[in-house]
Amino acid sequence: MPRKFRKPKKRIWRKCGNWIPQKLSKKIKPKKVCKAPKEFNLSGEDKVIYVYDVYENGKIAEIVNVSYQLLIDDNWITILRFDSEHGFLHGHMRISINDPTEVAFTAGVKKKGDPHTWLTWAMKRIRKSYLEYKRGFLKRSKLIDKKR
Amino acid sequence: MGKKQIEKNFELSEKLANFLAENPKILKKGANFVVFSATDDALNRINSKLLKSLKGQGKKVVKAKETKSQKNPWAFTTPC
Repeated sequence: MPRKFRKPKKRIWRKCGNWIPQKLSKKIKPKKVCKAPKEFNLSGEDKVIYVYDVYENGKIAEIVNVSYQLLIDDNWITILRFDSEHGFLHGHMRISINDPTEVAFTAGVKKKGDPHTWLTWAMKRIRKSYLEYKRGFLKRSKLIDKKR
Repeated sequence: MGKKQIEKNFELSEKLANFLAENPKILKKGANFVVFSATDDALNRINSKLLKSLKGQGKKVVKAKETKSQKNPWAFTTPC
Protein backbone atom coordinates (compact mmCIF):
# COMPACT_ATOMS: atom_id res chain seq x y z
CA MET A 1 0.00 0.00 0.00
CA PRO A 2 1.45 3.44 -0.82
CA ARG A 3 2.72 5.39 2.16
CA LYS A 4 0.11 8.19 1.95
CA PHE A 5 -2.77 5.72 2.49
CA ARG A 6 -1.26 3.98 5.49
CA LYS A 7 -2.69 4.72 8.93
CA PRO A 8 -0.15 6.36 11.24
CA LYS A 9 1.19 3.85 13.77
CA LYS A 10 0.94 4.58 17.47
CA ARG A 11 4.33 5.62 18.71
CA ILE A 12 5.80 6.13 22.16
CA TRP A 13 8.16 8.98 22.81
CA ARG A 14 11.13 7.70 24.75
CA LYS A 15 13.33 9.89 26.88
CA CYS A 16 16.27 9.52 24.53
CA GLY A 17 14.23 11.19 21.81
CA ASN A 18 13.73 8.24 19.47
CA TRP A 19 10.34 7.19 18.19
CA ILE A 20 9.70 3.53 18.92
CA PRO A 21 6.71 1.51 17.69
CA GLN A 22 4.40 0.49 20.53
CA LYS A 23 5.02 -3.24 20.11
CA LEU A 24 8.71 -2.90 20.89
CA SER A 25 8.10 -0.84 24.02
CA LYS A 26 7.52 -4.00 26.04
CA LYS A 27 10.63 -4.89 28.00
CA ILE A 28 11.86 -8.30 26.95
CA LYS A 29 14.69 -9.70 29.03
CA PRO A 30 17.46 -10.65 26.62
CA LYS A 31 18.70 -14.21 26.86
CA LYS A 32 22.34 -14.92 27.53
CA VAL A 33 24.27 -17.42 25.48
CA CYS A 34 27.59 -18.74 26.68
CA LYS A 35 30.32 -18.70 24.04
CA ALA A 36 32.92 -21.47 23.76
CA PRO A 37 36.37 -20.66 25.16
CA LYS A 38 38.95 -19.34 22.73
CA GLU A 39 42.68 -19.07 23.09
CA PHE A 40 45.74 -17.60 21.48
CA ASN A 41 49.42 -18.12 22.13
CA LEU A 42 51.78 -15.39 23.24
CA SER A 43 54.75 -17.74 22.96
CA GLY A 44 55.51 -21.46 23.19
CA GLU A 45 54.87 -21.50 26.93
CA ASP A 46 52.44 -18.59 27.38
CA LYS A 47 48.83 -18.40 26.29
CA VAL A 48 45.62 -16.49 26.89
CA ILE A 49 42.22 -18.17 27.20
CA TYR A 50 39.03 -16.11 27.16
CA VAL A 51 35.36 -16.91 27.60
CA TYR A 52 32.43 -14.53 27.61
CA ASP A 53 28.62 -14.60 27.62
CA VAL A 54 26.68 -12.81 24.88
CA TYR A 55 23.07 -11.78 24.47
CA GLU A 56 21.04 -13.14 21.57
CA ASN A 57 21.77 -10.01 19.56
CA GLY A 58 25.52 -10.70 19.85
CA LYS A 59 26.31 -8.01 22.42
CA ILE A 60 28.74 -9.14 25.13
CA ALA A 61 26.93 -9.60 28.45
CA GLU A 62 29.69 -10.64 30.82
CA ILE A 63 33.36 -11.52 30.85
CA VAL A 64 33.41 -15.02 32.33
CA ASN A 65 37.19 -15.29 32.28
CA VAL A 66 40.26 -13.90 30.54
CA SER A 67 43.24 -15.79 31.88
CA TYR A 68 46.95 -15.79 31.26
CA GLN A 69 48.44 -19.26 31.56
CA LEU A 70 52.05 -20.39 31.81
CA LEU A 71 53.37 -23.83 30.93
CA ILE A 72 55.41 -25.25 33.82
CA ASP A 73 56.46 -28.92 33.82
CA ASP A 74 53.87 -29.81 31.15
CA ASN A 75 51.02 -28.22 33.14
CA TRP A 76 49.20 -25.06 32.20
CA ILE A 77 48.89 -22.83 35.26
CA THR A 78 46.73 -19.71 35.44
CA ILE A 79 48.82 -16.86 36.78
CA LEU A 80 46.45 -13.97 36.25
CA ARG A 81 42.80 -13.73 35.31
CA PHE A 82 40.16 -11.06 34.82
CA ASP A 83 36.39 -11.40 35.06
CA SER A 84 33.34 -9.17 35.45
CA GLU A 85 31.29 -11.49 37.62
CA HIS A 86 30.34 -8.77 40.12
CA GLY A 87 29.30 -6.23 37.51
CA PHE A 88 32.73 -4.63 37.11
CA LEU A 89 36.05 -5.81 35.79
CA HIS A 90 38.55 -7.04 38.36
CA GLY A 91 41.61 -9.29 38.45
CA HIS A 92 42.90 -12.25 40.41
CA MET A 93 46.64 -12.85 40.72
CA ARG A 94 47.99 -16.20 41.87
CA ILE A 95 50.61 -15.95 44.63
CA SER A 96 52.97 -18.75 43.60
CA ILE A 97 53.15 -22.25 42.18
CA ASN A 98 53.24 -23.64 45.72
CA ASP A 99 49.97 -21.97 46.75
CA PRO A 100 46.82 -21.40 44.70
CA THR A 101 45.74 -18.46 46.92
CA GLU A 102 44.85 -15.40 44.89
CA VAL A 103 45.04 -11.66 45.41
CA ALA A 104 41.88 -9.99 44.11
CA PHE A 105 42.40 -6.48 42.80
CA THR A 106 40.77 -3.64 40.93
CA ALA A 107 43.90 -1.47 40.99
CA GLY A 108 45.07 -0.64 37.50
CA VAL A 109 41.98 -2.32 36.00
CA LYS A 110 39.68 -0.54 33.57
CA LYS A 111 36.56 0.62 35.36
CA LYS A 112 34.57 2.56 32.78
CA GLY A 113 33.00 1.17 29.64
CA ASP A 114 31.02 -1.95 28.80
CA PRO A 115 31.94 -5.67 28.78
CA HIS A 116 33.17 -5.42 25.20
CA THR A 117 35.64 -2.67 26.17
CA TRP A 118 36.71 -4.64 29.23
CA LEU A 119 37.40 -7.76 27.16
CA THR A 120 39.55 -5.82 24.71
CA TRP A 121 41.35 -4.05 27.55
CA ALA A 122 42.07 -7.28 29.46
CA MET A 123 43.53 -9.01 26.39
CA LYS A 124 45.64 -5.98 25.47
CA ARG A 125 46.84 -5.63 29.04
CA ILE A 126 48.00 -9.24 29.18
CA ARG A 127 49.64 -9.00 25.73
CA LYS A 128 51.51 -5.87 26.78
CA SER A 129 52.61 -6.94 30.27
CA TYR A 130 52.71 -10.74 30.39
CA LEU A 131 56.48 -10.85 30.78
CA GLU A 132 56.24 -8.73 33.94
CA TYR A 133 53.57 -11.00 35.41
CA LYS A 134 55.61 -14.06 34.44
CA ARG A 135 58.78 -12.67 36.03
CA GLY A 136 56.94 -11.76 39.26
CA PHE A 137 55.26 -15.17 39.47
CA LEU A 138 58.47 -17.12 38.82
CA LYS A 139 60.31 -15.00 41.40
CA ARG A 140 57.64 -15.66 44.04
CA SER A 141 57.69 -19.36 43.16
CA LYS A 142 61.51 -19.35 43.38
CA LEU A 143 61.80 -20.72 39.86
CA ILE A 144 63.47 -17.72 38.29
CA ASP A 145 66.97 -19.25 38.32
CA LYS A 146 65.73 -22.46 36.73
CA LYS A 147 63.73 -20.75 33.97
CA ARG A 148 65.84 -17.79 32.90
CA MET B 1 43.50 8.90 37.80
CA GLY B 2 46.77 9.33 35.92
CA LYS B 3 48.75 6.51 34.31
CA LYS B 4 51.44 6.70 36.99
CA GLN B 5 48.83 6.34 39.72
CA ILE B 6 47.32 3.33 37.94
CA GLU B 7 50.73 1.69 37.70
CA LYS B 8 51.43 2.44 41.37
CA ASN B 9 48.13 0.88 42.34
CA PHE B 10 48.88 -2.23 40.34
CA GLU B 11 52.31 -2.46 41.96
CA LEU B 12 50.49 -2.50 45.30
CA SER B 13 48.82 -5.80 44.37
CA GLU B 14 52.18 -7.25 43.37
CA LYS B 15 53.72 -5.96 46.58
CA LEU B 16 51.11 -7.88 48.58
CA ALA B 17 51.61 -11.02 46.49
CA ASN B 18 55.39 -10.82 47.09
CA PHE B 19 54.84 -10.35 50.84
CA LEU B 20 52.50 -13.34 51.02
CA ALA B 21 54.96 -15.52 49.08
CA GLU B 22 57.68 -14.63 51.58
CA ASN B 23 55.38 -15.19 54.59
CA PRO B 24 53.39 -18.33 53.79
CA LYS B 25 52.20 -18.66 57.41
CA ILE B 26 49.78 -15.81 56.80
CA LEU B 27 48.14 -17.61 53.90
CA LYS B 28 44.73 -19.19 54.48
CA LYS B 29 43.53 -22.03 52.31
CA GLY B 30 41.11 -20.95 49.63
CA ALA B 31 41.07 -17.32 50.75
CA ASN B 32 40.98 -14.31 48.46
CA PHE B 33 43.11 -11.40 49.62
CA VAL B 34 41.78 -7.96 48.71
CA VAL B 35 44.24 -5.06 48.68
CA PHE B 36 43.53 -1.73 50.40
CA SER B 37 45.81 1.25 50.00
CA ALA B 38 47.10 3.49 52.83
CA THR B 39 46.56 6.61 50.74
CA ASP B 40 44.15 5.99 47.83
CA ASP B 41 40.55 6.33 49.09
CA ALA B 42 39.00 5.96 45.63
CA LEU B 43 40.69 2.59 45.18
CA ASN B 44 39.61 1.50 48.65
CA ARG B 45 35.98 2.34 47.90
CA ILE B 46 35.98 0.14 44.80
CA ASN B 47 37.78 -2.66 46.58
CA SER B 48 35.19 -2.53 49.39
CA LYS B 49 32.54 -3.36 46.79
CA LEU B 50 34.68 -6.22 45.51
CA LEU B 51 35.15 -7.51 49.03
CA LYS B 52 31.39 -7.45 49.70
CA SER B 53 30.67 -9.21 46.40
CA LEU B 54 33.20 -11.97 47.10
CA LYS B 55 31.81 -12.39 50.60
CA GLY B 56 28.29 -12.51 49.22
CA GLN B 57 29.33 -15.46 47.10
CA GLY B 58 30.34 -17.31 50.25
CA LYS B 59 34.09 -17.08 49.56
CA LYS B 60 36.73 -16.67 52.24
CA VAL B 61 37.99 -13.11 52.09
CA VAL B 62 40.86 -11.41 53.88
CA LYS B 63 41.25 -7.64 53.86
CA ALA B 64 44.90 -6.62 53.42
CA LYS B 65 45.42 -2.97 54.35
CA GLU B 66 48.71 -1.30 53.55
CA THR B 67 50.35 0.33 56.57
CA LYS B 68 53.16 2.86 56.81
CA SER B 69 55.14 0.66 59.17
CA GLN B 70 58.27 -1.00 57.78
CA LYS B 71 58.15 -3.88 60.23
CA ASN B 72 54.52 -4.76 59.48
CA PRO B 73 53.74 -3.38 56.02
CA TRP B 74 50.33 -5.08 55.92
CA ALA B 75 47.44 -5.40 58.35
CA PHE B 76 45.20 -8.41 57.75
CA THR B 77 41.60 -8.61 58.92
CA THR B 78 38.77 -11.03 58.21
CA PRO B 79 35.57 -9.03 57.67
CA CYS B 80 32.51 -10.41 59.44
